[in-house]
Amino acid sequence: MSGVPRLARWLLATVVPKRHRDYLIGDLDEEYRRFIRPSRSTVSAYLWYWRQVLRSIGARPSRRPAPIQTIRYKGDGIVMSLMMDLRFALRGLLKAPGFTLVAVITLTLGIGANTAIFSVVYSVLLAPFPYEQPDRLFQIWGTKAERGWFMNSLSEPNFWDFKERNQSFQYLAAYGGSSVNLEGDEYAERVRAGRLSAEFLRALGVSPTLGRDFLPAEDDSGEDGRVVLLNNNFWRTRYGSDPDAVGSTILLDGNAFTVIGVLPHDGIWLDQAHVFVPLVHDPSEQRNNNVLVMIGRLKDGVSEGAAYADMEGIARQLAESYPEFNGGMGVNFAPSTRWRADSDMRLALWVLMGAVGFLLLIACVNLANLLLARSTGKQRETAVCAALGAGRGRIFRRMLAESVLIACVGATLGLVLAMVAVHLLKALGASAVPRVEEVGVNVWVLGFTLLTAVATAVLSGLLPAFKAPFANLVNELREGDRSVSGNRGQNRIREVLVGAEVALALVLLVGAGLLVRSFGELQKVDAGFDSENRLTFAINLPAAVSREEESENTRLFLNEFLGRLRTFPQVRAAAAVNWKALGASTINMAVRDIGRPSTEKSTFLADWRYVTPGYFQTLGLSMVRGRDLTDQDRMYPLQAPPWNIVISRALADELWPTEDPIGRQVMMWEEEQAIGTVVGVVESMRERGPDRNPTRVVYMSYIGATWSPVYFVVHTAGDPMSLIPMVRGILADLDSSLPIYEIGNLDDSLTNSVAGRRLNTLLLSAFSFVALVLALAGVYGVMAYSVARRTSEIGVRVALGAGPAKVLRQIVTGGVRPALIGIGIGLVGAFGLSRFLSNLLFEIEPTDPVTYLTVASVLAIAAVVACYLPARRALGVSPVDALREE
Amino acid sequence: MGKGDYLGEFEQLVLLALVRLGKQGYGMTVRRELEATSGRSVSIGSVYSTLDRLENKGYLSSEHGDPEPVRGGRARRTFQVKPEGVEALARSRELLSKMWDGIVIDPDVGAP
Repeated sequence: MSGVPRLARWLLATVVPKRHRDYLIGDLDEEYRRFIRPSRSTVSAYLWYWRQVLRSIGARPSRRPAPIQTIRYKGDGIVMSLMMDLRFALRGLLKAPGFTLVAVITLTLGIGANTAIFSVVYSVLLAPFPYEQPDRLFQIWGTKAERGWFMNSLSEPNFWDFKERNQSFQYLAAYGGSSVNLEGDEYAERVRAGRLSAEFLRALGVSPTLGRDFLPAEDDSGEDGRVVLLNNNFWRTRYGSDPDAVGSTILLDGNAFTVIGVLPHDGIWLDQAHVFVPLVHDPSEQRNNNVLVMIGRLKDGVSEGAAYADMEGIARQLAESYPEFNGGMGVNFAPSTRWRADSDMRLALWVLMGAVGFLLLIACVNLANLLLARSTGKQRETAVCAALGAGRGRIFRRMLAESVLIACVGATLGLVLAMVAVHLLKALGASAVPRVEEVGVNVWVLGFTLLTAVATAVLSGLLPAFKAPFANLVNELREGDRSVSGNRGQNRIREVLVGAEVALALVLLVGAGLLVRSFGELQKVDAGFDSENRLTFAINLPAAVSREEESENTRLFLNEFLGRLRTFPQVRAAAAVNWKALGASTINMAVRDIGRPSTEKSTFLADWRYVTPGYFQTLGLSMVRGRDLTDQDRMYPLQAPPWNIVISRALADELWPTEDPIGRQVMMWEEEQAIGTVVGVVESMRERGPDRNPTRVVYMSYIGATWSPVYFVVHTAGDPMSLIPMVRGILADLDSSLPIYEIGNLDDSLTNSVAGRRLNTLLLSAFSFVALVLALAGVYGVMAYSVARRTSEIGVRVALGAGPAKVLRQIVTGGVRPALIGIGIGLVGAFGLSRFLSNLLFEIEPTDPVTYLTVASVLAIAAVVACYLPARRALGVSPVDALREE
Repeated sequence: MGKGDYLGEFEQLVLLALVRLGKQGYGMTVRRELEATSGRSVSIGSVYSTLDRLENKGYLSSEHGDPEPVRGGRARRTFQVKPEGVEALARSRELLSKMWDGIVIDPDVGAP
């Protein structure tokens, strides 16, 4: 090149709009070479060129930075430029692996937790119901409002009366649980049997997947009802999904039943039992034997309210006709959409969903903070882009591209994390989560994850994108990142973000803290009995001994069985009871002092149990007063009332708060004949779980009763499960057709009774721990960043003689302030939100000051440390280095 | 007729320069022509911004040439005055002469 002033030409090329650049420079160069250079001195020619360049820059039409125009090749579509943005973002992220890693981990945790919890929420609360028009379908409970009972089962006679008299339901059907002996080729097996009135499936709006439904008349009293429908799993495992199962015969309790069909899954009713037989109308059934639950499908055009009024009317009629059994009876409707989870379960799930929502918010805030710091670091780059003609929209898009990319990767990894988590959840929470086998990643969960990812990208990317340095382009170009402590506005935003993060984390931590404290209280509760090394199992009495007239045989059978058990050296004690200890359900009755009139205040609801002597000792329950039952204490028909009974301390305290209960008599079941004389008071136990009140129980002698199945409790010296073969041996000796079932131990039952709470506590603690770490990372990051930018300032101050301790204190104070404000706001938020937890708490108030104080101080101390570390590092830099940087 | 239909002074000069240059009209020649005729210094930047504006108004058309070594390997953009440009020049001249009609400037006294 023949001496064109390069610098001047470069300047011109940088500033001139691209569309003019070539021609303009070309013209200038041409003139310079053709006319100027040949006719002037070198210096004069140079000056001419420079003058041209400078005047051209000054003379540009609008006297502002280059017209803003998108850098784009002709023919580029929006897709191409989006691809460019993404490619650019990817390159940028790969160049900053540390930032990318932290961002991706943050989002993976946030999105993973959300996806996992959502998959549970979906299958338990949101998944479509397997029934037709679920909003027309109700469960109908009996109530006795004056006793505070709102979810009572119904007796068979009451059910048939409701079914016959009601005008509102297209189908009104009933379900009763029971169990039967299923005789197989080698050994008998105890299986759960559901008894369904003939219209039950039609009420649900479900048809068998194979075979036929019960016929409308198959529950009539004239029928023998020897037909059976199979549960889907049972059909698959026992029949290998053989369609020929339909039409075959199956032996239940020694009777041949014909298999007429196979049922679909519904996760609610049809998965409760292995086999389903018709509930045959038995006119001899007792009106006070409440064993059925009732469901109904409304007739077209009948409203829920009208149906309710109709059923209430029938309940009143029944109460008038049979006041001794039905007095005060009413009804209560539970829509089918509530069947899958009770209110505590729903609450726990929504609380967890809220918690992971908070977690994701924290993750977003953290990412926004990271992106903001990054965009500040890239100010110069962005400014140059803008100067070269990148439009505001384009820069905006480019900044969003990074968060979109991070969110996509985070969502993918989060999904993987969620799958692992769901797997763990199924193992951990098998007994705590309803329909746990249905939980999994499906298309809805995927959709949710996608939505979460988009929301995350937008939430965390918008702020930094809006804050892209644009307004003050020239300043940015001039100043670059040499400004002393960064842009004040940006610092303020980052402080607000940190405050928000800390506030959110604090709310989560308080929630988790309350649950942990409450779980701790639960562990401290004395359940009243010993659960260690207690084997439990059930058997059915042989058919030959379980009839009423065979009560002497029952006595002999139990004696024989327990006697043989006690001969084993590892058996410390053994006893029988007629109801599963720590089971999900109970049987109860009304009890009152015989000397008092029957009023609401004098009558108490109490569980009742038949037990063999030694039951209390086996469970480690001590006698409070009086004595245990003995072999001489017997029941009808071996002995006429009054019967000797033992009551639990909780019941004694209600019946006779101030008097000695021994020798007093009670009337049971509101029956004149059923009189019990108290011979002992035994320590109460919390049989329905440590979070429930001690149960009120009346213990009667098993001797004389013929109740089946019998539950055994065995206190063993070592591992309770090792006793099982011996038990089988004894049973095979006595009656080879008897299965042993519901084998377990009390430790496990006790653990399972709080499994839901434990799972909640565990999950919420895990989430809040992650939240804490993320929030602290946020505090640390902002502090480290602002200190790094102030290194030179700090250096100058130290050089000028400011004491390092004072400077340190100043910096840390400044950094901790937003965290402290966040803690304050978080405390208020937690105070407002924690009341939603109150139903999940045990013995701990939602406003428990210990939790609030602990959490707030932990967070505050952690924040101070997170600020101290970077500040300390900055002070370590020698003033000379710091100044040289300047 | 709106304001935009009249030409500014520099626009008139650039257009007239192009008319005079005929097929030789491009940035450098226009600049030189203006400088030579008016005797005042003209920057290439202002020439281009005016040429651009005139092209946007539809008075000019331009063509891209081939790269030339003397231009540092850059192409040339030549400009032609379109009939609309000639019309605009004529209108401007007519307006000016209407305004000048009957005015005599006495160099000693100044404008009346």
